Amino acid sequence: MMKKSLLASILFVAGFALATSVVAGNYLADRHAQNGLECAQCHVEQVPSKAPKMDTCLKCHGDSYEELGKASAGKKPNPHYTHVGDKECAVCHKGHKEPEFFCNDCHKFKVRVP
Amino acid sequence: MGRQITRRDMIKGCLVAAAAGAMDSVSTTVRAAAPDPAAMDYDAIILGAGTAGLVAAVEAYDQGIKPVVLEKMDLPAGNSIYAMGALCACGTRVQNQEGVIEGKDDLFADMMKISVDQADPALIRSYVEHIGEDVDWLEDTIGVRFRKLEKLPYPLLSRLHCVEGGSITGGGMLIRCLLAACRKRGIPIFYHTKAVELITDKKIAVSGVRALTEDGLVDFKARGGVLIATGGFSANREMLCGYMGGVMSRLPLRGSSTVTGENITLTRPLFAKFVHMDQFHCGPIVSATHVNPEGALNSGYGIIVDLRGKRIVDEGSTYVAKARALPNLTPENKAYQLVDSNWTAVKKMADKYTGMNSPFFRDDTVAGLARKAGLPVEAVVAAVNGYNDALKKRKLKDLNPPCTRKDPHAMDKSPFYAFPFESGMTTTFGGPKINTNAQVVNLEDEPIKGLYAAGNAAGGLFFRDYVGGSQLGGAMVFGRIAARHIAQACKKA
Repeated sequence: MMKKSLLASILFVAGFALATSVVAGNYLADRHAQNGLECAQCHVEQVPSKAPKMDTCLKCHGDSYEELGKASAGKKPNPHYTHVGDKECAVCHKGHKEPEFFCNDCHKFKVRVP
Repeated sequence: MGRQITRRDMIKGCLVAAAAGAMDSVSTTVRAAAPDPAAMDYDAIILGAGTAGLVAAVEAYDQGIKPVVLEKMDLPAGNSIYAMGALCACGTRVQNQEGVIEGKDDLFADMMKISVDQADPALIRSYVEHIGEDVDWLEDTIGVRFRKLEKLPYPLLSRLHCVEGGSITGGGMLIRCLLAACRKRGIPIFYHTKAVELITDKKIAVSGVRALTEDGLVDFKARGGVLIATGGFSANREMLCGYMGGVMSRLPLRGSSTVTGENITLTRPLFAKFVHMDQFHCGPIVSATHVNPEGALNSGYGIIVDLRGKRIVDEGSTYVAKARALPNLTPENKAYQLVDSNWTAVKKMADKYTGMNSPFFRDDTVAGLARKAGLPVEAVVAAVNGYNDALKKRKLKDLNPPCTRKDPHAMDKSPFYAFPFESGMTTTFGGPKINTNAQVVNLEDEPIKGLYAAGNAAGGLFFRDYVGGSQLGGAMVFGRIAARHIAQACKKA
């Protein structure tokens, strides 16, 4: 379980370095589906209408927000350790549309969001 | 009772985290459940999870009463997290350890002076009497760690206690530490819960709060009192326009976009006495990147020109005065701080802009600099030459506008730099007037029973400007005072 979680965490964070701009059909949710995940594994509603909450994401990615912060500590700024606090994952990581970098509401950092 | 949190417990969470570069175990991750309408009885209801609110929550709990914090946003989203995290204080342990003696009367005099004697002296006296102990409390009870004392800013004495933020703002770290303290105590913080009305009894004593949650309206009961710690109204354009005028209402924000004046809207129906409503603080900012060019404006070097390449402001004035003047001097609210390499810290400022991906310009000649910046070349060259000529002739004060620098420097060493900036809104100072118990008073100067305010939600402490570090200091002092007074009210009830 630990290994699986660690691998998922590494893949998640590596996305910041590797991801290029998301094209149609290759949104975050599409990639989850390609990896065999069912809709209901992230969405609690029968007909999904809301983005999953952080707790759902952390089941597979990082175990905790602190761990995510440690894994992305090399980034400037560290997107998972900011003065704003621990934002909900879906604020940046959009499942079904282009990702957004919340920090760039005020700043112009060059951070790619998977 | 099992309520006492040891110093060691708290320090584990914060001190280790605060070490520069260290990853922090102090998370702001939200875990609070939705409020249960059937069990919403508390001793103290605290509106706003900023410095004043969280300090009050911890103090209330440690006084033995039951607090709850209602925060309208998904996280503490007020101005604290944008702040450098400095507290202006005298008589602290940190000062004693460093052999610094800062007197209460001196700080009192400086805080009154900077407010041109318009601040309430009783509130200022409360500040200087409590702030030393409160800063020690942040260390002992909350586990905040401070950097070595710095002689910044006005009046350049050793009063500024800067929270060690590591890789984030000191204010962000302060909030993380306070959240950790709340979490250790099990203090409920309901996010996405916006107070929309103060509930009162037949004597207009405040007995609770009606709040909008994700599940609809919920009434929270307060046995002892309600503390408004929601900040001022710096992000409420309509209020800014009404109290300060249209020009100032359009300034970009230097801090939070969610500080929208609940201190006014909630308390107006209770006939609270609003004071200093036209007063605010502004400073330089680049709105597109939020780099802070304050250091360039305070450098003592160079000149400031507008988009037409002309000097527009006395470079000898403070960065606050320059920023305050800019929107009225230029229709665009934009200017360039031009400096030369006589300023030894110029590369540091250039690195700051570069690090924030914020454009600036550099060239070996003034004309080349103007060209790169897209400014009228002839006007900029004339402005620089005019400044240098006046300096040689000791006639800087005869310039239009005059330059009143006491120790001016020629602008003659290449490369030359142009740092763009705008004036930005920092915070508002006006709000419901409080007394020394942090109770909100009405128009007859009588306390409104059960109603408290602290931090920038409260009026009376600041006017015109503030001594650096006294905004967070005020939030500390009156947040704790409010909590203690509410606890006393509960014990009497």
